[in-house]
Amino acid sequence: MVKEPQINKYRDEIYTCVRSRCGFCFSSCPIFLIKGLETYTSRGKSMIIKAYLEGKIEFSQELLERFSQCTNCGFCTTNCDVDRPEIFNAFKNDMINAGFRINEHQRICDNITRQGNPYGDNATIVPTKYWGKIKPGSDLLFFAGCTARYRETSILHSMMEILDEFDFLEEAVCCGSVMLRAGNTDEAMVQALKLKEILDKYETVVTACAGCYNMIVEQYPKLGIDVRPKILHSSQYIKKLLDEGRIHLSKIGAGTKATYHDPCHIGRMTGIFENPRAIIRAMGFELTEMPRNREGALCCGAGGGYKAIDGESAKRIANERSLEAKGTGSRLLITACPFCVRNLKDGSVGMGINVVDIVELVAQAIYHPDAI
Amino acid sequence: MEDIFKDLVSILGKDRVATDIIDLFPYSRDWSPMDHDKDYLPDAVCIPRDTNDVSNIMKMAYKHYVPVVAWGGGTGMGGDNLAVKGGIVVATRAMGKFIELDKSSYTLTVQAGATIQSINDYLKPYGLWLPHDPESKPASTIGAAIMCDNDGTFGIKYGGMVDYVLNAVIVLSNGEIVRIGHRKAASTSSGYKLLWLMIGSEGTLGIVTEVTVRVFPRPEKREVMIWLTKGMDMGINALYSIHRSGIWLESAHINDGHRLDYYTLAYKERTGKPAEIPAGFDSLLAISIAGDKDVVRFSRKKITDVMLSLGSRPFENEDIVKGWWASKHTLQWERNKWSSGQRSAKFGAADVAVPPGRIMDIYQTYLELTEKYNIRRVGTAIYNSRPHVSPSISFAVYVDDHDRQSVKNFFRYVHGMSKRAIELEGTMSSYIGDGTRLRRLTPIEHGNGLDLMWKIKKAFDPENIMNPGKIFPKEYDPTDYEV
Repeated sequence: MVKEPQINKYRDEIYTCVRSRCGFCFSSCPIFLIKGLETYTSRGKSMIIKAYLEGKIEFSQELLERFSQCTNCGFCTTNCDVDRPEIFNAFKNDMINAGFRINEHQRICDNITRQGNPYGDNATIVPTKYWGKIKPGSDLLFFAGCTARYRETSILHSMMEILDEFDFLEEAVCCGSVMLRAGNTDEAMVQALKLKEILDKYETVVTACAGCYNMIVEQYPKLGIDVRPKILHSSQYIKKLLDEGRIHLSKIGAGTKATYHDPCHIGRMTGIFENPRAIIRAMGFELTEMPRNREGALCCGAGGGYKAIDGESAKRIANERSLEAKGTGSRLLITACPFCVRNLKDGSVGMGINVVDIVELVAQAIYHPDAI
Repeated sequence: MEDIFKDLVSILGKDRVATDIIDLFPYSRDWSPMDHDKDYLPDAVCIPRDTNDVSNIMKMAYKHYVPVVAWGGGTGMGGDNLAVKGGIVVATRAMGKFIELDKSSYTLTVQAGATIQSINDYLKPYGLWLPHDPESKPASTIGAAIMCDNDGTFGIKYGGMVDYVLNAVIVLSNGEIVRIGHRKAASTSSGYKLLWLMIGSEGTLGIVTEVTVRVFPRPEKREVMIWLTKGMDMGINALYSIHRSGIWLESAHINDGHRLDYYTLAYKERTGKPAEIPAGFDSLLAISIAGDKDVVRFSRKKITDVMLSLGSRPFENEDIVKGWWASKHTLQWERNKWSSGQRSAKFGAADVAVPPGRIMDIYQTYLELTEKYNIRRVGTAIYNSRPHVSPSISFAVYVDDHDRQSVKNFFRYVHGMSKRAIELEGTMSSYIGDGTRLRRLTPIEHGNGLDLMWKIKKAFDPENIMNPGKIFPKEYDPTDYEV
């Protein structure tokens, strides 16, 4: 049986956009920024979907490729009434259901299905110094996220330095975020159900990944999946420890300017803006804001599987963001997402900027009260 | 066309020329009310990076007689940037570089694709701003602001584009590059004012690629007030009285009661009740004053004295005042008014201007024509687009874009309002421009002046490839450049 395209249920939203045409969605759209073509903007996509709804164009490989050029940063939603990425991901899902594929995204999906992570890697190396901290049966699970686990392992290790006792999954299980954002909703659903079963065994789950955090907290409920434990992003957990006096941070940043890049998935999408900033200040850094910050922050360029399909363009976006960071007079660019770290590092090569995740700094600055 | 596309790719690179129909749909409509399924598809979209790119595109188009339409933010309300005869859309947003800020002379030189918002973001750290402030500023470009001559919130103090632009680089239909204007001098009495000719020309004479504008010190403090009035003419008279007192207003808008409801939609959504004008009044005068705190305090007191003496009283609902100002300037609304206000019907407007003394006459026509064509009113907003009292008016209505009769009636209404405005010694357009919607009426508006305009047009664009199908009625345009 042919499934009715999901996009039909968004008809009113599409015509609302066609009517309003304000174009407020593309002033910081990262893809529009480098391509200059409205096809890649939210307003432009509404016009294309309108053409589809009116029978003027059909599903095609070219159409799926256009819609896949999106980092899912959600900037287009900040000044709009409707959840734009949700609509576009549904449209992509319709095309995938019709048999069209983006090879790079399919490879990621296959890797996740087979090996539990998008990179298709096998082993996670946990330094022996942290072995003693891993306590199966602990109420707290450290859910690292695939990029911290397999690519930006300094973030993984730093978080282990910060945490006291925690459980850690021996085998990787992906949250399915990249699948969902690439339009592979059915596969994402499978991952979500698999992870829910694991997470529900714990009281608290701490993740160092902005993408995982947003997926579990915001996207799972939209898929009809509610998890039992309290989910905390690393910045929330560290701030909590600070507020409760369970950790102290030394002033490692005294006399140093630093700027903070809001990861889209914890910032604009879930409203975590101030916790990371408070932690940065607690370490003594002089925080200098980029012109585009908080809700208006420019995406790093990596999300939504975009880095996989057009790495060069993703790097150009990161380069634009790094230039903005450099413009603040800071040489330290702090963020709170392994994927942002990865792409911003790629985009700032040769610029004299040091890109770090906030947990890497906290791991250096932390001391426990009873250690004084 | 295939050969032309190949040539364009060789000039710009393949990433900067789009010909696939998927990429053309985003450029097929502007903000105008039109049937929901109507599209004006160009044949290609080009993304130039600089003046030379635009010049090369024009040389190619000129050689092959292909129409060219410049595209800024795509938020025009009159069909100005629609490719009604197909051809090439020149999408200018990738030309957004800042070229020179001359702080000692208070001028900024910028590529024409920079948005108004990006210009003000750039100027903010220097304590400066460009006060041209249309509500579309996050999307609309400085180039389009020149070509469409739209109004803005702060017109009563700073004026319109004609008051800001000092010089501009224009590419003509044959690709020739011309710098027009008076360098950085604020005024000139030398030669014809080619710069002024460009303002409002809707891309029919050339494409602007670079512009130098005056910028101003950002005020230290601002206060916004809304005063209740009995009849919008009371608001006009109040403006004369305030001006007579010597106070220099930063912005001034007159609204009827209906329009307040639209502007403060966020307030209604938050409180569940509409922002109603208190009994005994039916309209309002909303103003802002700006300067240092002493001047603002003094101005506030003086304005209060004037308004109370006229029988007005302040609209003391901070939420409503804030909501109104969000709509006019800050855009810091809880819900975007453009999308939340147009969920079921399209916003459309007749944008006539009449002499200040005829406001109530044209308002009466608005009431009669909306009644006659069974059109739901959004309300009236009177801007002041140039220094001192200078009404430019939005008589706004809702259009059901899924009902062809409703769209037809809208255009009958606009044409009726336009003809009446001319009878009242006014003009049929004060901020939208002629575009496609009013071109049948330009002979009435301009008389034989339109013949002179056509001669000017031919001097700039002998083959009529620059945004054809706009301003001039069909009779002026005997050639068919459909390709």
